Amino acid sequence: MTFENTLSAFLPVYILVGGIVLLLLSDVFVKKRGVSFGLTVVTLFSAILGVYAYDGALPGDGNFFFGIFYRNFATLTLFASIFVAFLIYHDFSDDMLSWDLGVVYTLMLLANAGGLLVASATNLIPLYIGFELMAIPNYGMVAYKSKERNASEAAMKIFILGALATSLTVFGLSLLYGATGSLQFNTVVASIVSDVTALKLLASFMLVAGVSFKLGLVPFHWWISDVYAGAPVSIVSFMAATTKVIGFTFAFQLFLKAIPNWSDQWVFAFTVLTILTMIIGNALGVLQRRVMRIMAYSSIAQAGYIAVTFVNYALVSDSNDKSFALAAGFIQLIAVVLLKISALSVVLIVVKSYGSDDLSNFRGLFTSNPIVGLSFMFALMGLMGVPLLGGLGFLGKFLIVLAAIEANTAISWTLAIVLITGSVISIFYYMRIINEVMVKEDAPEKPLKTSVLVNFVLIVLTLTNLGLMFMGEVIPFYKLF
Amino acid sequence: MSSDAINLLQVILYLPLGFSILIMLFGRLMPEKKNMHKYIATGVVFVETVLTFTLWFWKFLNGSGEMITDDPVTWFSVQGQFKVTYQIGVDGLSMPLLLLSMIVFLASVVSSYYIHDREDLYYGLFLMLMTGVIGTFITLDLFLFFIFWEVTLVPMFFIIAIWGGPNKYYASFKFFIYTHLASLVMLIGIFYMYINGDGSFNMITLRDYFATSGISNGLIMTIFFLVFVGFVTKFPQVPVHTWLPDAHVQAPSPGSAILAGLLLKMGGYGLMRVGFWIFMKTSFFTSDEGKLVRLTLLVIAVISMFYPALIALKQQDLKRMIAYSSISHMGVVLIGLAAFNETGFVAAIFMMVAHGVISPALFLLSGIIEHNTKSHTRIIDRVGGLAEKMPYSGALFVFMGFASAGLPLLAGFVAEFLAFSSIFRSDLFPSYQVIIYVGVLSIIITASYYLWAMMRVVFGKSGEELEDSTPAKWWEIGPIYLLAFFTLLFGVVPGVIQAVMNDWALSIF
Repeated sequence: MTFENTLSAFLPVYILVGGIVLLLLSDVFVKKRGVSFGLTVVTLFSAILGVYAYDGALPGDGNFFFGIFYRNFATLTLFASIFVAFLIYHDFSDDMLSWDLGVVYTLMLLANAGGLLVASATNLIPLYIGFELMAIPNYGMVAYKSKERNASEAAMKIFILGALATSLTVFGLSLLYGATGSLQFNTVVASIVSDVTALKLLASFMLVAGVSFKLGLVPFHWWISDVYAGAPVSIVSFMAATTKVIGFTFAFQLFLKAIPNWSDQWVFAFTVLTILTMIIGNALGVLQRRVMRIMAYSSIAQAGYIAVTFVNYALVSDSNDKSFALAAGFIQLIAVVLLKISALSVVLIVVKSYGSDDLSNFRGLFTSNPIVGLSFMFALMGLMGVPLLGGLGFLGKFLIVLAAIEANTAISWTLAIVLITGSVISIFYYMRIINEVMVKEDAPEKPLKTSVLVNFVLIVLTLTNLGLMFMGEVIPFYKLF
Repeated sequence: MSSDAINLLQVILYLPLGFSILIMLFGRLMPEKKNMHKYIATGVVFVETVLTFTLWFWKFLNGSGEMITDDPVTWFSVQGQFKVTYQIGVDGLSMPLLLLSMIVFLASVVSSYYIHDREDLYYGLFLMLMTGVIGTFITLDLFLFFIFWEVTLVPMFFIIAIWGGPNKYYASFKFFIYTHLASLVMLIGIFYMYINGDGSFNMITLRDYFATSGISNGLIMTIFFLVFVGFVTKFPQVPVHTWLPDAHVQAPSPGSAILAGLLLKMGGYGLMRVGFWIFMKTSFFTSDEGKLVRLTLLVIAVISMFYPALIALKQQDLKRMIAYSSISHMGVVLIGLAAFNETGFVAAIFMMVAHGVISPALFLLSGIIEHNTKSHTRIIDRVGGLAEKMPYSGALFVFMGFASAGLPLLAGFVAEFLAFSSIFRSDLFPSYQVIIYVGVLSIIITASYYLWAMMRVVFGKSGEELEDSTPAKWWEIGPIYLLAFFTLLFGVVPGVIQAVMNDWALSIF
């Protein structure tokens, strides 16, 4: 493990840390919002480039691996954060909060560094440390508007439940260590512990519960809607995109790379959880009246769709099919990042202009600002999974269902049918919003306050989402893993 | 192969989509000249019509129903396994429906001129709908087929939800959810076909593969029923027909015309293309399971002909009555398919074309009545004396009503005659003749509710509703003349459009 190797392998992390130092310095000496923003975006961009600086494992070390999995997930994490940075800039523009910008960006970069560790780790300790490095700044970001009652409540909830989830995960990891006597993925995979089923079962259940808390799978989803409704919208977009990607990276690493051999123990748990998530998450979404809560339940449901990947991966035996299952989940993850950020940036614009996210404030959006209205519609159709107009959002779900059907077992057929049923239920709440957007009568009279940055985000994300669907031969979807 | 024709087809497919995006994005920049949007849209539809008729005269006038297509191009693939191809083509099944699309779109774009509210959005959605419908008729890949199939849903939803009647939200949601749910069931069927096929969604590849692979009859039956649920809901037949009357009644008249004229035909086309054509090279439909499937179709068809006809008899709303008659008429298509012989398939396509020119005209006429009555009503009892106040509309109403009831020398009669003669010659006839007689009986009911409605609307005592009516404007009445012309043409000289159907049907049996 030479110095040069380590430097180029961890280059993106170093870039992020360097960016954090510069940000803190500029907060003290320059004190300009634009500078903080520019620094953050440049840091994230160079970190994306840095991800491609090194390939393979470090010589003589089994704790990190910088392969294609790392690159895909790290790039997606950083890519999502760039757009979130745009939204944060628009959101934290009140006089009271504008000086906080640098601090929020610092926390965000720190969380990204955690994400890079999670994606590259092949050892349970760095995996866990990276995950916590993502989670703790996240609590701080949610708590940022601490003068507002809802924000404090949201921060309290995410902190306490996050701590609970962490402790469950740590407990599971320690049981895992007890069962296998190792922390490295390859030795964990290789160790044979068939005679301690109870221990394996307990460890799997703890890990599944801990991860489900973080991903928001039913019945561990209660905190999500309160946090979404209370936290600043831009921070919610961070949670719906970056945090979600890192959460799934962690879960994929843990279940699909470290303990795939224990799938007998966790497949059933994930099957039940995903079925509950897809049905209950969508059904509760129908009952909501505030758009942020609808978004929260849509997030829960989308997490359920992606979590089907765990079951798909475990139930196929061929390695090609396995990587297809993972690729399907990853494509849906890309779609959720693109669609959720663009949907939430519209919510951000509306909340900034009218002060509330009530459904009636979205009335006439299409007429008053066609760019915003149209991209909102495309985003919602993507989340709904409408073919063609939904772009990648349709393709992702389609591939997940296809991967389930290729597994061709009773469980995966059930999951495929539940996924389809769930997305039918979701039509009710998505179409309700779309309908409000299209109606012209009784629209709010105040003009919509938008900014060039958010419009840029909307246009780029919408076009990316629609365009990626037609790039089948350019971006070889299947060769993602 | 014939790549010139395919290039023409590509233009026909994507021209409306391009203009749809242009109108939606930049349409609001020209609010001063209020007529621009509708003239652009009419221009696009007109060019499309000319192109389609060019294709028709160029490739299909000799009566050959052979498939005109290109080699498939891979869109994206998964290690040669999950292969989505791009392939479009027309044959004797899709070409008549493509022609029908143009006729119906031309009629409905002109009769949309009364819409002044948010024209840019309306015509943008209209053209997007056009691409969806054309794409459904001409793609030869199941993935693409599904995409275009679903694309039609969204514009139609908005056309109902924005420009519709008083109960528009209920109707549009019901329409969207019914058809979307059904198409997801169809998607499972498509998946089933994919995993039992050779890792391709291409219809031609699948058709050839199923012919040689020895796929079991039970499996085909499962696939058939899954896709059948998707198509029959769009079609629609009893018991999944309940969205149709609501959607028709609440939609604006041009929307109803497209809905009845084309979206229902998509269901029929899909059933013939995906349900029958792909499995035509196997011996499934003549096996015992296949007979069971066809018997099911026959029973559904007869119930759907009889029961909605009875409901139509007691309807007060003119549009609602025509909507129920649509369900009844689409049953004839299923009868033709259940018969499973050349005549039956020709009858099925012909019925779709005939109903596709007749029912839009009736919907547009009821739109004229609605616009000209004092209280904008379509209640049959309150509208009377059309012949006296609006003689041309009244005459056309009688003409189209008789066409729909199946008067000889008009398009509807040819289709019904062919359908019944095919079922009497099919292998289902001797054992299940009672069912078939019930179906034939429903024609009498159809005739009676049309006659009764005409008696009241056209020749009834003129009430106060039509007192201030003005003669229908050219853009109101012109489209109906167009549709009436084709009704007469297809009735008197059915050969002009039937030759390709015949050739196609002969080539697949």
